[in-house]
Amino acid sequence: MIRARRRLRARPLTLALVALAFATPLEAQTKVAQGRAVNRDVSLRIFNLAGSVRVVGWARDSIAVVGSVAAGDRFMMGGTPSGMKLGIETPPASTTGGRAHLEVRVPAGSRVWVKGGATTIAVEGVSGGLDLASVEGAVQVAGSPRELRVETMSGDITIDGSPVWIRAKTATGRLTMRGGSDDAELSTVSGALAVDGGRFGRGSFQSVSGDVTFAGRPDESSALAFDSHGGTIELRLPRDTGADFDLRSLRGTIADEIFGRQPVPGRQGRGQLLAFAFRGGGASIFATTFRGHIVLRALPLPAAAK
Amino acid sequence: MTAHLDDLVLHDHADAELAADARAAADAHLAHCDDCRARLERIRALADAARALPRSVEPPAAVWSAVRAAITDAAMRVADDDATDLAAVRKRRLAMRRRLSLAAAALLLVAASSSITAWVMRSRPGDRDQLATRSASVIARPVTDVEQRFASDVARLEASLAARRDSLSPETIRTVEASLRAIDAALAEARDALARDPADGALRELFSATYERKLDFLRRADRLVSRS
Repeated sequence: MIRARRRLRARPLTLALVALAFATPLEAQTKVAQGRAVNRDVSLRIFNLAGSVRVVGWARDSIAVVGSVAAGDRFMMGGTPSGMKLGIETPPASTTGGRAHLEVRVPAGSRVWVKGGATTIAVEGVSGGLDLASVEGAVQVAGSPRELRVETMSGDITIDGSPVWIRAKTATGRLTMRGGSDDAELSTVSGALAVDGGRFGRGSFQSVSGDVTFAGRPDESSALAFDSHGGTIELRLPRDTGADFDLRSLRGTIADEIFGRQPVPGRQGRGQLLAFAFRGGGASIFATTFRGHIVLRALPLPAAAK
Repeated sequence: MTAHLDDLVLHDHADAELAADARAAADAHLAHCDDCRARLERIRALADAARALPRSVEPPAAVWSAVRAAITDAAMRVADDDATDLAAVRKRRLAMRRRLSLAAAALLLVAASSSITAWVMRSRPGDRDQLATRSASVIARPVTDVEQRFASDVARLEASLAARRDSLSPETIRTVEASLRAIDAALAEARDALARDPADGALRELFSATYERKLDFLRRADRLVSRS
């Protein structure tokens, strides 16, 4: 009986020793919860090759990270109050990295870089600068950062907000922007490009074979250029848009469903051209396609104006 | 010391066109004015260089043949479309002759400006080769000059991407290859169209812009994360 009790008492101790022996790997295997005090305009780099990264801007002068890390991978975080780096490290001996999910709260005025591979990235409430790159994952941005750079290869890009300056590129993903910008360049290779609703100062909207759709209200200082080699360019504008239009489809057609203007044949009778000024000009609108079609359509009046 | 000699006097002195008393006065000043002597030397050097230039600069023969062929071809195609309308044909032939004359005049103008530029640039031998190349290319710009501008960067990036192919995921490889096919198809269409109408400026811009897009895409693909 006494021997049995001794064996029972020894078991918790054994278990504790075993737990201690594996303490470090156990922490890295599951949960992440760390925080650091930083400057309100901290520069932060986040890297996660697979999984997800969610960044939320808040009013505190600190960074807080929660998440989970796959077995075999390690979460790291380090730096100074003005420059921090955090992310997932996969040991060299590992043949496959798992998926890690990180949620990072940062001061709203931060400058944040996020780099991923098969990683979905979502950012909201950051008004500083954003530089987001994911190869296959989708990227979503809500808010109006001062600068926004975002690139994917196949992931969709969705922007809900009006960054002052934006450069967004994808190859086969769909690029959607609901908002405006003072200086925008959006491009795809074959993915569709759709812009809806904002005021643009300078805008360049390009695709090689994808369709380009724009719905907005250019003002007299807007200079907009649309370009798709093979896709359709559809411009939805208010009926009272004062602008200089220069539309060229080198081998396709042009249809003006707003102002009723008729295009003329292009060079050597190929394609169509339509150039005119409405309401004395103002905004500059250029559209060029090789074999796609260009369509001007009327934007519905705002509800209050009806 | 008397005031410096003005440019008119120095030029006349260099050309030996000063009257005897004016020349004597100029020589007296030059004897003790380093500034004016240096200016006179520069004027003489410029005049010597101009005298050494060839009397005429002929563009390569093939260039004019290519221009003439392009204008003729374009005009004949338009004429063929309406061959039964003799008045229209006559009008088009006249227009073609006018175009050929204008092209010839343009060639002469370019050749003349090339001579003048070469004369001015004579003292900078390093620029001479660059100038000759640029002058020749102003006359006729085949599509290949656009491609040549991008060729080495495109080749380097394509090689780098091919070398890293094994480090990319199958999905990423498919995306990259599909995108390059779309871009190359667009380039092929634009190139064919430009070959038929080399003078189409809008088409040339489109072709060049598409090439830049290919270069940008290759740079981005080359930066891809490994093990994506």
